[in-house]
Amino acid sequence: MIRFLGLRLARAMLTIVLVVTFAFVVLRMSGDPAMTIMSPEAPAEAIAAFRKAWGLDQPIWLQYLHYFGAILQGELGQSMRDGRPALVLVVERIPATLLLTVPALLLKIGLGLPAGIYAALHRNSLADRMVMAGAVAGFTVPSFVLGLLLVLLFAVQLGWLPSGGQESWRSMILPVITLGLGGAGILARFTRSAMLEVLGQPYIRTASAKGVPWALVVRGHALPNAAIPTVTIIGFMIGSLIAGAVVVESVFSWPGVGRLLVVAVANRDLAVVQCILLLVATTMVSANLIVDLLYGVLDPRLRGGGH
Amino acid sequence: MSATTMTAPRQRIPVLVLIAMAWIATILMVALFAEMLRPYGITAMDLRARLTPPVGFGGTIRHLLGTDELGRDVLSRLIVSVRISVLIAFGATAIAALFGTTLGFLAAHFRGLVEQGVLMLIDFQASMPFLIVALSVLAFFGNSLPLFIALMGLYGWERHARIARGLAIAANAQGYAAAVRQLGATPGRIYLRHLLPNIASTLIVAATLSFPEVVLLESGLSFLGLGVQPPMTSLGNMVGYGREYLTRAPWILLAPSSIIVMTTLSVSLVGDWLRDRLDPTLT
Amino acid sequence: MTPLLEMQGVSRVYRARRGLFGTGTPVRAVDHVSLQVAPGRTLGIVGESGCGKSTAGRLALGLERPDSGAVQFRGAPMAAPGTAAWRAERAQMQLVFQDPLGAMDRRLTIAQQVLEPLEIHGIGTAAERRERLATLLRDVGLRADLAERHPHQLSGGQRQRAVLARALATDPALLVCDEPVSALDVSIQAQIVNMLTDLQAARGIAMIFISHDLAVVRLISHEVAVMYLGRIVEQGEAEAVFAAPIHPYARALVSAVPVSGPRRLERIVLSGDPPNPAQRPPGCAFHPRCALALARCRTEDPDLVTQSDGRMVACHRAGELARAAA
Repeated sequence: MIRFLGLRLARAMLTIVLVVTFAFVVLRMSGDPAMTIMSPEAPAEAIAAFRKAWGLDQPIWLQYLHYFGAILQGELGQSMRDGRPALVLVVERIPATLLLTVPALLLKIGLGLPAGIYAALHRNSLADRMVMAGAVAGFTVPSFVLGLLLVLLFAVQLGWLPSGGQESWRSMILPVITLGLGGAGILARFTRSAMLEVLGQPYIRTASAKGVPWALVVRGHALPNAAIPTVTIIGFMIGSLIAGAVVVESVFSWPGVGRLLVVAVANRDLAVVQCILLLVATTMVSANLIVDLLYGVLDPRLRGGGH
Repeated sequence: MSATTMTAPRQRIPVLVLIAMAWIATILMVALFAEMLRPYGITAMDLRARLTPPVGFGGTIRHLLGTDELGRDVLSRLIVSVRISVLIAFGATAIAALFGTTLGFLAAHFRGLVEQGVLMLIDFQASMPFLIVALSVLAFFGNSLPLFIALMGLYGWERHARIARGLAIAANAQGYAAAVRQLGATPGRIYLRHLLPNIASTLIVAATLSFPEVVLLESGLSFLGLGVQPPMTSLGNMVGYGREYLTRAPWILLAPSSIIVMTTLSVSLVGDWLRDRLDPTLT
Repeated sequence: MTPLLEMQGVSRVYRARRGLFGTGTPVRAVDHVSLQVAPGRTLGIVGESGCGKSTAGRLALGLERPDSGAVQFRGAPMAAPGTAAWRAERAQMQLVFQDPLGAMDRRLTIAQQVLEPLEIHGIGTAAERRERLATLLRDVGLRADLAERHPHQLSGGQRQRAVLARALATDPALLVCDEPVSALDVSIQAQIVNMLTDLQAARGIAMIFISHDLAVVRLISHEVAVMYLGRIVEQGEAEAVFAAPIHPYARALVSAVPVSGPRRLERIVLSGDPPNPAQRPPGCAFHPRCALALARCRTEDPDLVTQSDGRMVACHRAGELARAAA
């Protein structure tokens, strides 16, 4: 179990290192920082001084180490727009985003899981087909189309709900539904195929042949085993709580992390973008780590082996 | 197609899949002949007919799908948008297939450190939301069409890499690849002449699974104003632009939206059907 | 005659790794094996599955490199696998597989596959290759019209003939056949074995014939080596070994072969568990299953010793058993 934990931790660290390296490489490849920050007309001495001050005259691997060290100390730079620390800018947006993504996640799980399980248990029934059709629609209709259609219907035509902004809890309804429906479709499809796979296994047939009541077979054997692959996808959804609403926040002008990211990208506010990238990577990796640990609980066979 | 599928009894193709295929064919035709099909130029303004609704909603035959607030013909813009979006999705899917297959083969051939490196990249790709990575790259590098296609080409490569690696390792361990190797064939010959044709159908299915995802990604980024840049136009771009006129002229937005949904739906349907027929083990 | 292929004290160790950092126990798949094959002769290698006979065949072909010991082909060491020199060497030695369907590319026609070695090694013009194809198909007994078929459109026997035609395309000096007929019907097995014998006589090919089926090995081999857990336990002239095996394991194997007429050996049924290469018993590896084992066999590993008739046997009781058999 210790070895299992250690391996997972090492892999998680490795992913973070990769993301930081990615950010560094992209940052360096995108142009000479001295030229980007100083104007090209600046005198040569000034540019040289800037390089020295920022360590740009050092060999690239040393720059990489410095960059790494700074990030470890939480120095993520200042926003180019208002000079405030990028980390502060990003962190103050997180609650707004969570206000959308957490209810949406509950909606995904509350809708997707039962629908998928029901569809698998009633394979080829009308309900199964409807769930599958809904699931396909869930990932072929882009969230911005779904969001705008909902706005068109409920805000423009019917006038029931606001089309955007953050005035009251009622402004949350449309974005949460938009986010939740698509994810629910994906989750339902995934759960259904995981269940179907488990239901086809010999031990299920054995249990049912031994006369164990079907409901017990499903609850005792099928569900726990189907949970393993399903947990992966839920883990990914948890990992994207912080940045999973980029498009939807833009559709509904919701002042969350995603909206900040889009504006920062448009303005090429590199410090903010980099900060969000690292934050997302950390959340994602942590979520994966938790999923891996859950695996260990759900499936004791995985604890010993390397896989 | 191998001879097996040639001689296998023909199954009837479901009606829905047939419709989807017809739709895909139409979209490809539109993309190919966009320049001939569009009635007007995409920047041609008809200032006397601004925000004209489509035919049947009070519009005229001159602008079948209506016009936008500058009097530009929605149908013409739509046709050209289809062309750009299809070009990007095709280009990106092709790049991803090429890149992924190459990496998969390299991992299978060299094993050891190369393989560990490729597996690490696959892990990384699978564990990061691609939209965020794509946005970061766009922030750092700015945007141009070739760069944008290349960036989209980084999407979904890991699917091809996994398939190519797995099948190549299996074939190398036993079977025809090992047999050809001991005949004295060069790695190039083994991988290109023997392995690639044998796994092509699986790779094509994988490509049909990622194609709609690329369309969604492209349209999403363009919708955010970070993908295809004006004066060029793409489907997502049109939706993002039409959003301003949601209340007054919803047709500007609805036309490209329905094309996106119909196309991704069609390709998914055909992809699923192909997978069930050719390789049910794929996810 | 100088041997075409010579293996001297060759060992191959696999490390069965568990997990990413796990250190597994080393498995000696092939342990100090020495063999030689002369042109025009056939060496049979027999033993249960997992005894290392297939690995021995791959080492003989230079498909794998030994961890210790030397493999020499025409008196020179083999090139390292994957190098251009190694690839060029392939024209002179070929492997025939157990599963002919798996060994062929199912998307290419028989003609394309049979001619592939010529393409790879750049032998002959297009016209010469066409002629060569006709000759090869005739030699292995395939109708010319089958050339345009795909592998799955052929019967098992026809497929193995096609694989043989491909192996023979470059006129190799050495052929390693790894269980070439065990997937085929008994009636077809005999046809293929006869054909191999004829081809060998006509072309003077040296052959290593690997099989668990002693009846087939007996038909084709001039010499035979019996392997147990990676080592050779008995080796000698095929007729002598099959007529009067000395090593208890060889005796058990030979006694299990159905023969017509009066039996010379009483049927010996092997007791105990089948061997696990990862857990090699101390002393003589065969002792847990040997009815004749002495106390010495549990501790002391017997060497492969040449007997009076030139045969080599690795058994502490070889002397007395040889006298008893004679």
